[in-house]
Amino acid sequence: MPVVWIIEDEKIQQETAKRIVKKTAVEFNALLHMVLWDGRGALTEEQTSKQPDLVVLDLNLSQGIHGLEALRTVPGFENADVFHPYVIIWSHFDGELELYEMAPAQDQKSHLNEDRVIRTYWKSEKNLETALKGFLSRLMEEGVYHEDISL
Amino acid sequence: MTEQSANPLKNSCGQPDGANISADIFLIFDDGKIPDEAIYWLSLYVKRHIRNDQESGGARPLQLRLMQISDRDVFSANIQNEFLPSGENRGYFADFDQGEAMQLRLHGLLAFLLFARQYPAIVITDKNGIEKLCADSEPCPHSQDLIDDAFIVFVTDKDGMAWAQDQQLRAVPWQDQSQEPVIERISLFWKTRSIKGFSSVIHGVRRKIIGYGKRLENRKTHHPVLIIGQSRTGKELIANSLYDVSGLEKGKFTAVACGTFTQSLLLSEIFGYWPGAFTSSDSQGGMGLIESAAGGALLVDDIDAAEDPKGLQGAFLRCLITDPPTYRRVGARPSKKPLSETADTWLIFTLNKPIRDMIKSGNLREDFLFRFQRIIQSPPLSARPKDIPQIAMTSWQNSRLKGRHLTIPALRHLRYLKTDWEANAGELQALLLLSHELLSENKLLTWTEAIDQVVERGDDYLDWYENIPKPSGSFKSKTFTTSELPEGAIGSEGKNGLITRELPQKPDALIDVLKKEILSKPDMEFEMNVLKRIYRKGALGSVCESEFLEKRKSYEGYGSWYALGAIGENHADNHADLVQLLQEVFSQKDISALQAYIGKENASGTIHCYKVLLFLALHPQNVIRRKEMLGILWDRKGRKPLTSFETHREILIRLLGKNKRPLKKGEIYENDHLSLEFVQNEWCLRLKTAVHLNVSQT
Repeated sequence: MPVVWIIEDEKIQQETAKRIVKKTAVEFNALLHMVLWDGRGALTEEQTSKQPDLVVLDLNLSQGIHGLEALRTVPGFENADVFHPYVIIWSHFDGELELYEMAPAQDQKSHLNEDRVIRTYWKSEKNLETALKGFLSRLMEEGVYHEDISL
Repeated sequence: MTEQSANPLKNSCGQPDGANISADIFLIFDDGKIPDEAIYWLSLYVKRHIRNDQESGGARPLQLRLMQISDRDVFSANIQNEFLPSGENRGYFADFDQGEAMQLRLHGLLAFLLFARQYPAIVITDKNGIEKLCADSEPCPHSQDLIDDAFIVFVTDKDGMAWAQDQQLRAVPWQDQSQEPVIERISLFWKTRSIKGFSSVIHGVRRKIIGYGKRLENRKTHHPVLIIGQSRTGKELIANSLYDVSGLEKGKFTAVACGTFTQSLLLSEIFGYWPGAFTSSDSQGGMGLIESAAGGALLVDDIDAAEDPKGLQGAFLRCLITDPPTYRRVGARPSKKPLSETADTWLIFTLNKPIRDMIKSGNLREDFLFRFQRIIQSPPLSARPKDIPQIAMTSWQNSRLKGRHLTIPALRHLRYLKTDWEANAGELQALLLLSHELLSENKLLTWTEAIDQVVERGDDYLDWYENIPKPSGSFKSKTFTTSELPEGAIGSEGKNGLITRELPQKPDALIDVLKKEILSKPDMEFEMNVLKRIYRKGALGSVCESEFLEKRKSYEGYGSWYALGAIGENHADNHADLVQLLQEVFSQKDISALQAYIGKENASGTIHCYKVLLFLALHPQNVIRRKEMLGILWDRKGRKPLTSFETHREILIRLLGKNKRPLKKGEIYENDHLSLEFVQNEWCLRLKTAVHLNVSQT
């Protein structure tokens, strides 16, 4: 079962993302395991038990937390060789994306696979949906493995 | 493309570098307990393998890969330790690389065997195991592929044997201790490994290569070989592996392409010349390729491409019957000894045109053809569709392009994509390269989708290069202007009027017309007209082509359905028409219930609903019952009717698939994972408002 993480601090945006992920999953007839996180709260053991396959990421999290920093807390991130989740950076072009541009300079360790990262320039539902559809279909083709094979 | 090298999927279908692997061995037993007989057979095989390899004295040991698959853990670790005669022989085993193992887990053994494996496979299992493996393939054509595959050998018990023989699978009993059929096949594959493919057709070619690569004892040189085959079917690969198999001195393989020289130059290149044979000839004379290749082989490539093919064939006639080949240098005179010379060169010819045509056009001498006792036909790609995944994989690896690697679903898609590969491997390569272009532009595209988009550009592979899609959409585009529209398409109101189409007035006749339209392929031009009519683009005087194409994309699934319904100010008329049509199909009770439900405030929404119902009711492949049909029109919570055209479009696309041909029951269409059952289930889902997701929240 693919694991989707939504890292977003604003409740409304979180709900929106959740709804869109659900809707897309129904369209793909895919069973998903979804984890919602605000980027700083404690994670339960169940949530950290599986690595994410797809992350919907907000860059500008509350209390000055950078989205990519939060991403480093995600389980599996330490295994750079095998961990290559699809990342949808869902943010506005004004200001927030600069955070993304800055990140590699600040931290050499951020090792996202560019082929699997997409940035939206506008935080709209449509953008998220399009990106989700594309990445979910890639996920289904390229595969995901968490002991149980569901796709 | 950072960190690409660390990606486990990188080698997902790839070959590990410097692979020296002769076979993959799979052990499939439900409970993970391997019967003693199977263990005995396997250990015997491993011992033989090691002994044979040591005898042949290769530089690197030939490796085997072992994999145990059981119900409990899909994938147990390597078990080679049990079969090692001694610790030193570790080199005889290799591990599945990470990417390959992952593909195997994800897509199952059958998909891996059929579409992604690189080496012959020995499957050791009992009857249960074979049945389970083959059960996945019912009723798809996969089972045919399994039979066609000459390099999967099942090693099984008595029951399994009986079952496998029934299914025409290649099987040997594990009581058979001679193991000859298995050893023979595996060594056959290893010897001709530069040729790709596992199908039985190519198996025949491999056997010929082994046979023709042997020199008869009473002959000084090998029999000359003629390889006939279309371009890009691997004639040169066959020639190379003939040479590898022959055991001739390494590095003495010379090839000459007949199209490169003028005829006279070609003759002096091949046979050499004496001093004074022509102006500015070397005073020492010149050695020909046939002489310089002595002790090795000379490949005369594309003999039909020479300036005067018949003359060239005539020049070779004597070489073909004498052993070793006897020839005369250009400019040989009785005064210059020797008049004719011999060179123990193995002659291999290739021909890339059909022989019948060549004889008819006078480009092939029949006597030339008859002098060959060894002829190999190189089969075209369409004759061995089973090999497409492997060839695609090889050609992808050889292209050395960076980017995403081919996945098993993509390879399976390629396998069933086409039946006529006009340019053989060239066409396949073109398809991969063009798809790769699309993929590198768009991260959201999958391999399968990219391949589809390229194929949609045209039937002919040259179309793929020519019809580069407009950025606005992926459809083959054509510009329409009002002047090009067919006569009568423009209404009586002239330039500013609506483009109309005559529809029959009587409901019966109209239903017939609509039925035909639903069945036939959508007519692009007509759709354009209708779209213009709907969006009144014609009235504005400017034809926004890309917008039309975009619209067409979004309305795919409807065919020319727009002719009905909301198209202007007079909603009322259309509404009445539709109700009349509906009455032909549905009961009055249904319709009045529907009208009450939908309400009247949203006129175009109502019309959409009517159209969907009518469409479903008329569609001959429709399997949804009347009651459920009405259910489709409501949202998943059953609160209000869906009156958006977009939603209904989705429904219809899913129901009818892309290509609108008649569907058989149980057939899979549009996407592999969208089966008829799925579509039906989805309706249930929408109706029952099932909760579909596991959500845990902080």
